[in-house]
Amino acid sequence: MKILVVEDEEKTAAYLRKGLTEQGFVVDVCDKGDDGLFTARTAGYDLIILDVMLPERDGWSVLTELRRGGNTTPALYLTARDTVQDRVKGLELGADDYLVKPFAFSELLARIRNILRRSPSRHPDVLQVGDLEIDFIRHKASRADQRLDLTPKEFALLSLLARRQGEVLTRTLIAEQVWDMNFDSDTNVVDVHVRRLRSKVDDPFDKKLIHTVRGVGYVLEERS
Amino acid sequence: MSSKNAPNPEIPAPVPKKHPWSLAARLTLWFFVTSFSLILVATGYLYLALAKNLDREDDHFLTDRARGVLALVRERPTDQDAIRKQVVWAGAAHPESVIYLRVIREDGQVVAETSGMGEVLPSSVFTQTQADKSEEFSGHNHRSTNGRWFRVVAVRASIDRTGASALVVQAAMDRSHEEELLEDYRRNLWIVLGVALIVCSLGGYFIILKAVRPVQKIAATASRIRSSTLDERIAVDGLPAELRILADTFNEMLDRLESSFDRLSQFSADIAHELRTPLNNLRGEAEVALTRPRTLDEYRDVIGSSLEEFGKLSRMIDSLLFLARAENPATQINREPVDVAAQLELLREYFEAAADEAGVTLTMQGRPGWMANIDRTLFQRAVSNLLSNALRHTPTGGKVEVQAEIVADELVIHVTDTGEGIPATMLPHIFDRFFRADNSRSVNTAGTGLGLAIVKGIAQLHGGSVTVASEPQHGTQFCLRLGLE
Repeated sequence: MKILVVEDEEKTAAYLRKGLTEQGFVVDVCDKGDDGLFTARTAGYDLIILDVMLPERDGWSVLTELRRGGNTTPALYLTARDTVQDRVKGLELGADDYLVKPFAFSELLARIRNILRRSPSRHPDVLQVGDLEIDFIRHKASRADQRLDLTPKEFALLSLLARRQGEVLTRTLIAEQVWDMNFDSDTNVVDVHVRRLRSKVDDPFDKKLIHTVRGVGYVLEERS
Repeated sequence: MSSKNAPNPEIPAPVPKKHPWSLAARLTLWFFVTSFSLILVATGYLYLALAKNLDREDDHFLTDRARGVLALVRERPTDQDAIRKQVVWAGAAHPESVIYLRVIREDGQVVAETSGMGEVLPSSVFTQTQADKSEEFSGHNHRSTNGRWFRVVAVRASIDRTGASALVVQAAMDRSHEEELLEDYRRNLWIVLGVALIVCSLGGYFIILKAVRPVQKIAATASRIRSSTLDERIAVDGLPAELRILADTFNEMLDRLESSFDRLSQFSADIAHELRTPLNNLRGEAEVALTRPRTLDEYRDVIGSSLEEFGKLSRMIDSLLFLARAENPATQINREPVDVAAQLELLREYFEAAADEAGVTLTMQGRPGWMANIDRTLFQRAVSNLLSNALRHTPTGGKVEVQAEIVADELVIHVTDTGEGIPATMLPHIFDRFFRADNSRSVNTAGTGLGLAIVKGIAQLHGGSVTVASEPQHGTQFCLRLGLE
């Protein structure tokens, strides 16, 4: 998967390159709007990450030019401007998503995966992580063949973590996906839910599957 | 190509900028026009009255003389000598004024006339002959060939009972001295008017200048006010009532400005303070971590802790930006029909675990299927902030209740808890940014101190309000009203 990052802020560009490369992406970086437009046209990328405020040619213009030339590469805006008008403008210009700085890297990763995954891929009916088995059709989860007694929301939370296994999910993303709460908050509400889920999924077993990534969120994976 | 045929569009001359007349100039002009015309009318009237009076007196005198002659003619029509004597020597009886009398027949033959009258006042001068009927005869003025002014009267009267024969009596008196008097009077009038012209314009100007001075003073005070001198006020004492209203209004505006300005500076100071704490943590932890080599886990711990602080900072900035936007009346919100009960159910599920752990009963009341035209995300955020606030301040065994109802064109949400309550002195401030009821409480449990300010912002964005009532030791009730447009 090839990603083009058009970003003039050196530190941001550097950590994006590092972080994305470590996640297995091939990353090219441009620090000027014109270079970005040229590079995006010549090489085939799977995704373009665009800053709005760029020297020479701003991000809006880069995408407008690309789309005018018939290039449909998915694009994601990164910007410090977060008025509703800016968001609407970005999406109208044909961007696939819009992320406001400062953002959590895990959030960016989740959104990138979301865009790249958008091409329909069917979820499996049954998912297995270690000895955890989730049956999405019957809404049942079990561990080591022991049935887990979960509330519907607990099941939804576990499903989310399992479907995105290995991916660190932020509290904001979890609140959004499970409870449809679309705002950041300082409350520890999500932590309480995860704690309760853990008491059913992990506490009775030796091997823990749900892990806390301090300062970021939660991840479900089988760790050796 | 001949330039003759070329159109020669007239270049419009630049319109001179119109300077509206100053208030003082306008008032002065009005004052001048009014007072001067009053004086003009008054003096003119007095002059005309005087002239008329003189005329009347003369007429009265001439009438008397003419009647005297007529009486003589009637009593002794044949005594020509007596008539002649009275007429010819008329002037002798009144040496102070020159009198002329003439008696003529209807055919124009002169019966008698005062000596010398023929040269000065020929018969043709007496153009308006009146019948001897009216109380008093009205004469007219005539300027004789020798340049003197006369008042002349002519009366026709029958002298026998049959009325067959009639006589005309012509009477005149020299009134040159009266004309001189009037001339004198006129001259004085012109002087009076000239003085009035100067006094009215200058006097008016000074009076009005004095009246306008307070306005200039107010303007001067206003122009002196800067952000550093917001405490300056216009002195209201001694101002006329009309201007006092202006000055009071202006001072009230300054009060509001000053308090907003104070709040703004307080707010900046608060932000700086709030940013300092997490920054200090970050810096300290990073510095300590770098003082010596550490295990991987220790590094991980430091970075994780940093991430937590970053998250806090980012959320604080987001909240502040949100509040700034909420205060801008032009900010648009994304209204859509929202199933209130369904949203409350989502919120209940979201907070259920936290309430359970705190040992607090959480109940929601809202009629299913109620649709409200509001911003869904903002609604969630407001109720969520009120709920987490209520849960934070309600001890184990307590209750938190959310009730929703639609009253007229408002969605009204009551969030009631059985918590510790809020002291009355703090109630007015709890919606202020960074206000925390308990200062000793650590930042972690009390949030950023922006939660309730955000609730207020959301209410404002919906054209609504949020109010609070509290009874210490018994509980608190928040009432959030969102306008449905």
